[in-house]
This record gives sequence, structure tokens and C-alpha cells, in this order.
Amino acid sequence: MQQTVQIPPHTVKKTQTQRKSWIRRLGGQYQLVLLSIPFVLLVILFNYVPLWGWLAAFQDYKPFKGVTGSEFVGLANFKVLFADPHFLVVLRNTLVMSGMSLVTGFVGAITLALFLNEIQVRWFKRIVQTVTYIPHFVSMVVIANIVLMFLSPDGGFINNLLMNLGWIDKPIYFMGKGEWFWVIHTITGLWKELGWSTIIYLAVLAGINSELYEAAAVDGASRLRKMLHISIPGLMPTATLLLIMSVGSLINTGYESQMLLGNPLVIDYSEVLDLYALSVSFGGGDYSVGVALSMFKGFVSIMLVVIVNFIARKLSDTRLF
Amino acid sequence: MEKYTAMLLSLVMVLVLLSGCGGSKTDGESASSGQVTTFTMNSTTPNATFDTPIGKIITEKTGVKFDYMTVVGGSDEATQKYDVWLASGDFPDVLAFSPASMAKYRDAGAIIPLEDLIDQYGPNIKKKFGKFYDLLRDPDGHIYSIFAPNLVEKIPDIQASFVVQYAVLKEAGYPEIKTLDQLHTILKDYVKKHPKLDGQDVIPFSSPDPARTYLNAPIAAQGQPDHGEFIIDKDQNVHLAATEPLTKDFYKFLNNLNKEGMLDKELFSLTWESFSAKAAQGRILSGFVPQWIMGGIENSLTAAGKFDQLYAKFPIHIQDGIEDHVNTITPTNSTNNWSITNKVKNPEKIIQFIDYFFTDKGQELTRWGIEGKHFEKVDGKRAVKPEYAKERAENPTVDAQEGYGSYSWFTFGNGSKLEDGDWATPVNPDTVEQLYNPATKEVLAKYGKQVWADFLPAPEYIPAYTWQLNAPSEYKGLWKKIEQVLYRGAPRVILAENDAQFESSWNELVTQLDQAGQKKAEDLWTKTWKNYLETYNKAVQSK
Amino acid sequence: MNPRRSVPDVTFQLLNYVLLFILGFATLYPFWNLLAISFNDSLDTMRGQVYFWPNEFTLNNYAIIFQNDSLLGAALRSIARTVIGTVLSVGCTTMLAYTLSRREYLLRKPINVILVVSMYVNGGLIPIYMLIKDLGLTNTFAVYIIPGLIGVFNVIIMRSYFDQLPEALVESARIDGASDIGVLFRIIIPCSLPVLATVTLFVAVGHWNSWFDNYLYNSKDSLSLLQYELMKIMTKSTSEVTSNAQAALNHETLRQTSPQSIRATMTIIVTFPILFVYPFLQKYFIQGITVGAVKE
Repeated sequence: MQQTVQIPPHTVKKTQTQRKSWIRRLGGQYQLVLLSIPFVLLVILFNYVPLWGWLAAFQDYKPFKGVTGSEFVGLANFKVLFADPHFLVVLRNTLVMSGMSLVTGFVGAITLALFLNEIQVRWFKRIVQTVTYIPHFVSMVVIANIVLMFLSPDGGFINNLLMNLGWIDKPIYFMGKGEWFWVIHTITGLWKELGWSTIIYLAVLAGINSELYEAAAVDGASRLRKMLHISIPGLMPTATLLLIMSVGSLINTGYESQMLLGNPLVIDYSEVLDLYALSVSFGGGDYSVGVALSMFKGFVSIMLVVIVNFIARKLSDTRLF
Repeated sequence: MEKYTAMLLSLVMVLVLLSGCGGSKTDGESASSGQVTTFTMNSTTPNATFDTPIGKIITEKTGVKFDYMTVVGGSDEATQKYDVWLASGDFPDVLAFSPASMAKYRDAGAIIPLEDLIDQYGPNIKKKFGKFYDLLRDPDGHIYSIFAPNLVEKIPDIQASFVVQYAVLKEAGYPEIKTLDQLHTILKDYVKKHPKLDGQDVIPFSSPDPARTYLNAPIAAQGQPDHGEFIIDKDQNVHLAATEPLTKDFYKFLNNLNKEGMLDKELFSLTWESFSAKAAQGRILSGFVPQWIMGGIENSLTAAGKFDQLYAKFPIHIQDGIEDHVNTITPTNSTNNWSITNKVKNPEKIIQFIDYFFTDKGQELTRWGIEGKHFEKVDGKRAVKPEYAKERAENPTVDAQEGYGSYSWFTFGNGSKLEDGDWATPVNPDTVEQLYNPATKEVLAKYGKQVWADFLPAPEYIPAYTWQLNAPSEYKGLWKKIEQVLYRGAPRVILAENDAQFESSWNELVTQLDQAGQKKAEDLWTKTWKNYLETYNKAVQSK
Repeated sequence: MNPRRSVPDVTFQLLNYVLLFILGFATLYPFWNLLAISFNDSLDTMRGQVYFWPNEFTLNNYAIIFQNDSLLGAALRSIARTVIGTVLSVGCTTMLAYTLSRREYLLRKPINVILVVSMYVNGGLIPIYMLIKDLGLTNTFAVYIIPGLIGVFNVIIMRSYFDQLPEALVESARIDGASDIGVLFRIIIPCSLPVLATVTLFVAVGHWNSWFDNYLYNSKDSLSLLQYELMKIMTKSTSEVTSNAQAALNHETLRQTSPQSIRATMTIIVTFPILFVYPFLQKYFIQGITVGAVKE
């Protein structure tokens, strides 16, 4: 490793003049300050000020007593979360499932954006693009019911098809097999959100300077070459940012899909952190446990983001912060 | 130019924010017009209003009306809202909520004791609760909430939860099915002859969701009342139903069905929607299906003209000689409890309002409607007017427009009587039969019965259901563990591939439940139950 | 377009069309199915055999929803919220994102950190409610707009897009004497229509679909939004199924709609406006713009 000793600027004792010049320089940027500070304050107000609520994680919080009056219980709420033997399984499920969704969603959206970009018939492009994002608006309950019906061992479409083709002689109970759950969950999520997450990439592609393509066309570059050398590099910065942000959310999966698709037979594969929190906090009735989990998730997320951001900085120019 | 637009925009935002802070907030203070007092109240019924013909009469009689703050979504959303209200002090004047939420408000001192007010302004409340009045009291001796008394003499529309298709009964010559073995044999014979309906496989036995299959069904099959996850023995000890030997027998019955391919293939991944679909197609031959799920399914079957696929409701038991105790009546309906918050300056008005519903007039108005418009009275007997019945059939929203049944918070219950001797509600033993279709009447006639309730023994009075009581606080944590074990373990027992596996899965389940703290949970509940019995007996005897 | 088409290019194109067609079909199905269900008799829907077309056509589901008097007002408020909220939010987001794309901005780094961290922390329901209440925002229309004014995710997307614009553009404007604000309006915004359209879409859909803030903060009917009113109808229909013993007994006559049908109809009602407005935004990120044109 290269050892360049570099003293971070803030540890240097600033002299009066340096500080003054910094302030003066900032004064010169007053327009930028005006355009940003009010909004930053707003973010601080609505996202950071309520963090005093984290105190409830260390208390047996009672709404009417508030954080000033509730009994202090130390780490008991965290213990409730972590002491359970299921916790590790739940953590594994959470990470595996969000990892799978992250990779497929990421690759899928970019691929779809690139493929759509190659379509020259404008109405076809517009229609396909519109149609693929519609499932985003259909509630998970409906999507889950369609999936369950489709995969049913009792006259479901897939089983009927496989039986008619003679590939199987007995229906497969897809939803009863733990090892299938992760795959089914991932495909369901992809189906629902693929088109929606493509929109950002399409916007970025639309913003790529068309002169680049024209120049490449003059050089006789094939479509594939243009894709590899112009479109994909053009997408990378945004893609990297989105990737970093979603890694931060790895632990924050929500639970709707898992709850609606899951069942007792696959619970050891389907139970994720948020679902688990719901059960240990008695359906949200135990407020403190919910806060403890939210705090835990916040810390893990920020750690993940910092790590991935660091890696991204090393590998490319892009960084989240 | 742009410079100013941008600055303006960012300034506007700050201003909006500030103006928001100072924005005047008109509080929910009652706008009294004339003698009518308006109180605020939560409501889980969306768009509830007093602006209906019946609502107006109630306001006229009581001088009270409510401005509703709607609480939507599931119970989670409701709990969130009640917590937030309590934390911020934004709660309405009157709250109707679960005993658990009520307890939070009581501990916070947000709701007021009512016993003195009732003494003064609620003579009918006292009268109707009669010897059960003291059951309204919390352990500290105060009354914090009022709920409906249960004055039912005979539950007209109760039905057993085990259901069997008419077609199956017809084929077998209408036997009265009493045991699971009997059901098993009959189903087996039927499936042999009719394996398909409309080209699709029939499903001999199913149930709408996992918990009903492994938790509720075995309790009903043991003839026990619905104490949630518990069975209470003769000595008033509370047991977890899941480890009872008879529960094992029930699981064995399901296991045998499964081995023969007669159990729904996706029993544990059914949703109400997919279950209803199969049942409404007429493919489910029998099962454990509570009444309220059955309703929509039978409507759909009837609409399709599939009368043979409607269901008979029998109390089916694990073995011969089990006495059925499913038909039970508790003295109160403590689920939606009315409390008055400390914000109210004239709580006596609310007590008087509630008291009105404890009179014959109040009951009549809320359940029967307006005389001459919704019902008529011939020889002291009330009956829904045919014109109104017709209107309801054609327009499903007419009830809401009229306020018919919208204010029945304190109904005495279907099958209870008014002081004049007539039934308190339109659903009563005289009318239930009229609601059945000809196919159902025909099947009932084969058994010499008139209503499904006739298959059950006479109603039995019990002090309470365990789920109506406040659970011991330690129990919540235990139940979470027990539930996890059951949710995972019971399906494994039921779907075991052979006897050896069945036995080992069962033993594993029993061991795991033991480790999860079954004994402690039972002790806690036995104590709670016996304490309650003591209160109950004291309350009842003192009168 | 390109006169010389190689064989692999043509094959790729063909394959591309086929694949996208299949994908389009698969993703259209759920919505199409809901459309069919919304026009189908609810008792028939219960049988679960509606796929592409209604079996028993009816307008009953729509009639039940639309007979709600409060719906029109709520829809108007929802539109107002969406329009006002989106305009303000996109405007503010653009300004903030722009400052963060200026490399020379001294506060760039600390602001970035503040924004990113804020995405992953959450103080919980009660403190946020208390804050909103202390700010006097409960029972105001402003509560729909202000707390969500800055979507950090959108700021970052925009910032990244601005970062990619050729620095030469900005420099040439600077030489002409443009201020920061001048650069934003004259150079950055016209060059960024695709990302502005995208963020506008995200923000607008977010506003259009949200109901929880309405539920939590505004209990007055006069501030009620479309999604919330529909949510109420949904709740009502669910509770009717579970509690109305009388309805359960009236086999012959009561043809009420079911939660399943209501849900389908609701989805159609709220999604249609989005589908209708969408093409106006879509053209910006489907067709693209030429940066060169602005440069001249």
C-alpha cells in the first residue's frame, strides 16, 4: 500500500486568516448557499430532529409518559431482537433475498433500458416502456395472488403446462418448497418493479450526447459496439450511485411480499427482518422494539453505504458522498 | 430574472413553512347548535355519519351527535393511531376501542371513571347489565368503559364450523355426520365416484388458512368453546389445546387424508381469496370454515345455481361421545369498548346518550329502524317491511343511507328480547329460516331440523372467552415463542409422509412447545382465569 | 436510419422485438386482469376464473365506489396536491442538486453527508408526529407538501446527471458573465429535461399515491385525498365481509361487491390518470435531446 502521509485539512490548526478567507470564499458563493441551505435545514428538521425518538429504544416506552418519563431498560429491547435463535436465520434470509433482488433488479433494469434504447420503431418503444412499468401500480396483494394461482399444485397454469408436456407426472408444490421461495420472491419482485426502475436509466441514456453515436456510426461501429462503448459507460455513474444506495437498503426489505407469498412450510426461508420485527413487537404493539430495530437497521445501512462508497471511490470516479 | 425567481422560490418555501407553524387550527371543539352537543369520536367504519333518517332521530332523542375521526386499515394502523393520539394528546372526546388499547389510555389517566355518572345518568345501563354490572369494573373498582351486554337467549344464526357439501350428503343418503372417521369414509366413497367437477379435481377437505387448520379446528372437533388457543378443563385449568391428545388425533385425521391425496394440496399456502375461489367453484367437498367466510362463498354458489355445492354445517367430533360446547354465550361483548376522555366537559351527556340505547326504543331504532318505514308491528311482533327488504335487495347501499344498523354499538344481540317480549333484532329464531333457500330447507328437512343451530346443543352460559380478558403481560412474550413453534411444527406433523415421521414430528412439537414455556403460559392463564372467575362469581352473587 | 445493416444486427433486432413483446405481455397481464375484474360481477370474480375478459359484465363495482359523495372533492385535492407538491418539490430538488454538482462549492461535502445519512435513519412514528404537530402542520394542506419537499434520492439522481453534463457548457456561460443561478436556468435545466421528467414522474406518483400522511395528520374531511377515501371504501368492504351476519344470510338477494372487486376497481381508478399523463413526460426520456442544440 502506498503510504502518502497526508494530514486531513481539519486537523490543521487554522489560522485566523485561513478561516477568514474560507468565510470570504463562501460569501462569494452566496447564491449556492441560498439555493441549498434552506433545503438542507428542511431535511435536518424532518429527518434528524425526530431522532430523539431513538431514546425509546432503550426504554419501556409508554406513549403517555414520553421519553422523559418512560422506564429506562438499557439494552433489553435489543436483546429481544437478537437473543432469539431465529434471528440469524432471519438475517440470512433478509440479506440473501435483498441481495438477489438487488443483483437481478440492477442487471435487469440496465439490460431492459439498453434493449429499449435499441428499438427504432417509436410507438413500439413507447408502448413497451409504458406497459412494463404498470405492475408498479398494482398492489402486492394482487401480484401475490396471481403468483400463487399460477404456481398452484391444484390446477395452476405452470403445473398444468408441465403435466401436459409430460415433463412431470405429479404437480409440483412450488410454494411448499423452502429452496424455491427465494427464487419465486425474486422473480415476483422483478416482474413488478423492473419497468419502473428502468425509467432512470432511460433518462440517462436519453441524455447521452447524440454526437457520440453519430461519430461512431461514421466509423462503422456495430450496434453492439455502440452499446458497449457509449451507452454502458454513459450509464455507469448513475448506475453506481443507485447501486451504492441500494446496498445501503439491503437490510431494509419491507415485508409485504414475504408475508403474502410465505407460509408455514417455507417460513425458515421467507421470514425477513421486518416481518420478524412485526412478530416480536406483537404486530407493532411494542413500540420500543420497533424503534430498536429501526436504529439497528440505520446503523447497518450507514456502515454498508460507507464501505461500498469507499470501494466505488477506489474503483471509479463515482461516489455518493 | 432567473436569479430572483429562484431566490423567491426558496424563500417562499421557508415562508410556507413558517406560516404553517402559525396557521390557525380550529380545534374539534363542539359546535353546539340549539341543544345538540357534538362530540368527536374515533370510528373504524369509514364515512360514518349521523346525517341519516335514523341518525337524526337519535340526535333528536338524545341531543348528541358525533363528529367522526376515521381510523382505517388493519388493527396495526389503528393501534398506531391510538398510540400517536395518546402521545400527543390529540385524542377525541369519545373512544371506542379494544380492551388492550383502552388499558393504555386508562394507565395514562386519559379516560375518566364512569361509575358515578352511570349511577346518576344511566339507569337503563345498570338495569340491563343486571347481575353482570360489576363485570364492567376494572380491578381498581372503577368502570372505565361501557360495552354491549349480551342478553341473547338463543343464538339464531349460529352454525357449526365443519361443513359438508349437500352433494356428498345426498350420495351417502343424508347421514348425520358425527365423527371425523364417518366423514372420512363418506368422503372416500364420494371421491371414488365423482373425482371431478366441471373437469377439475374435487378437494375432499380444506380450510381457509393455516391457523384455522391447526389451531381452531382441533378445538372445535373436541367440542370445546372458542377460547382462542386454549381449552379449559372441568377444574377450570387452562391448557394449550395444541398438545392435547385429541388434537393429535385430529392431526392424524388430516395426516391420513393427506396420505390418500384427499387433503387440499396447498392447504398451508391458501389465502382466503384462493380458498374462496375453490369453494365457490364447488370443488371443496368439506372443511373447517367459519361462518363469516362461508357467507360470500355461498352467495357465489347460489348465484351460479350450484345448490348441490352449498354446505351443511355439522358439529363433527374427533370421536364418539364428545359433548359439544361450541354454542356458548358470554354475559358481555367486550371487544369494542366505549370510553370518555378527560377532555369532555359534560360527560353526563354521553352517558345519557348511551343510556338511550339500553331502552327498548333505542334498541328498536338501531336494529329494526323506523316503524312504518323499515318495519311494521303486527300483534306486538315486529317484521321488516317487504318494501324495505326489496329495496335492500336491489340497492346494497340503502342501509348506509338510511342509517339502518349503523348505530348498533350497544345491540343486545341476535336472539335477545326486548321488554315487550318481542325479538330485539330482525335476525332472530323466527326469521332465520326464512332466509334459507329451498335447497337448504330441503336438506334440513331430511334431518328433521329447521335451522343449522338445531344441530348444536342448547346454548350454554360461560363467564367469558379467554380472549376477552386482558392477557397477563408476561404471556405476550411466551405466546410469540409458542406461536412460532406451532406455526412451523404443526404443518409438519399434519403433512408427515409416514407414521414414524408423524410420531417424531409430533414429539418434536411437544418438546419444542415445552421449551417455549408452555407450562408457564398455562399457569399464568390458569391464574388469570381463576381470578376472573372469582370476580365473576362475586359480581353475580352479590346481586 | 443506418443503410448498412449487418446480419448480427438484424438478428439482434428481431430477437429484441420478440423478447420485449413477451415481457410487455407478461407485465401487462396483472393490470389487464384487474381491468377485467373491475368490470366483472363480484360473485363471479370470487370463483377466480376471470383472466382476460369479464365473465359477467357489470358496472356495479364502479357504481359502488362512485356513489361516494366525498370522492370528487378528494380527487380535486389529490390533483392539487400532486401539481403543487410536484412543482415545488422538483424546483427545490433541482436547486439543491445543482449546488451539489458545483465542484467548487465549499459546503458540498458536508451537505452530501447530511443528505445521504438522512436516507437511512428514522426516528419513528411518534417523534415525527409530535414534530408535525408542534409545527402546527396537523390538519393543514401544507403537511402534504412540506415534509417531503426534498427527496434525497431524487437529489442524488439529479446531481449525478448534472455532473455528467460537459463542464465546457458551464464554463462558456461563465465567460459570458452568467451567475450560478443564471447557469442553472440557462444551461443546466434545458440540458437536463430527461432527468427532470424522471424526477417529476417519481415525485408526482409519490404524491398521487400517498395516503398515510393524510390518515395520520389530517382527520378533517375537507382535507381528505382520493387514495384515503378509496382506502376507506376498501376498509369498509372488508369489514362488511367479516362482520355482517345478515349479509351472509341473504343468499338470494344481496349482490354486494367484494373486497377483491373493490381493490381491482380502485387500482384502475387511481392508475388511469397516471397512464394518461405519462406520455407527456415519457417523450422527454424516450426521445432524448441534443445537448449540441443548446450549446449553439
